[in-house]
Amino acid sequence: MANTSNFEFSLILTIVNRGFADVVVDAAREAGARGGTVFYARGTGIHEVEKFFAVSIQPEKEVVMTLVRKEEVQKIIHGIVKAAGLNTEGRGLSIVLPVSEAVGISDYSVEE
Amino acid sequence: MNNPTSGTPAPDGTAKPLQERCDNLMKRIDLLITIVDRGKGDKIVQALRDSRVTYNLSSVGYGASGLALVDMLGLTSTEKDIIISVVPEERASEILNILLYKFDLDKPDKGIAFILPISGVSGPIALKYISGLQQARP
Repeated sequence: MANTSNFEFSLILTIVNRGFADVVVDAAREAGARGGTVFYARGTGIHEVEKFFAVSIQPEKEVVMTLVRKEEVQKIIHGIVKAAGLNTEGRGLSIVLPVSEAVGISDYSVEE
Repeated sequence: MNNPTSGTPAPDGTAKPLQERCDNLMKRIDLLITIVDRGKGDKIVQALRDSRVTYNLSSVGYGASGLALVDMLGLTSTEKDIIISVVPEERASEILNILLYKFDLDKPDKGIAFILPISGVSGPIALKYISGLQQARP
């Protein structure tokens, strides 16, 4: 039995304003991803601490991790940027990281 | 790959063989990310500790996998634990396999684990600390 998947994977990390993770996940799903994992974070960029009527607003963010096949990265990231990119309400920023090995992605091995 | 330690004498004057010191410093490390159902994170960390992986960070997250319809009906348990660990590159596959068999990750919905290469750390002490070399060496 193959210990690892036969496919090469990449990890797409998308950082969006809080509340927009669902938009990212839906867009990724639409473009062919199987889902993702969401966790909360706090942004500390220079534009983040904005005062709103003298009350500073917490720069709350959500991070979406999506493990996708290498061939599908372009397609999926395009979908994400279209739905939640920097010029949308979500102000999403995506980065792609190389994955050298992955286990537990059963959908792919069953299907092919 | 260039060698940052070649030619530099040991700062404390100890006569460790140069090769050994280089091996120590040049150890490549990987980032291991494991995502499992909420509550199983501690077991993962325990298993990793048993495999001499000493640097584990645990966080909570929410899964968003599965069919959209099932998701809409609220039938999925979406709460997850995310465990971020640092493993030596040469043991990455071994540790991934330990997790795979111990936690049945090859079955659907049991969780996933993957390895990301790390290209740099903030110095040799940090490297020793996060890769657990200080404890591992006899």
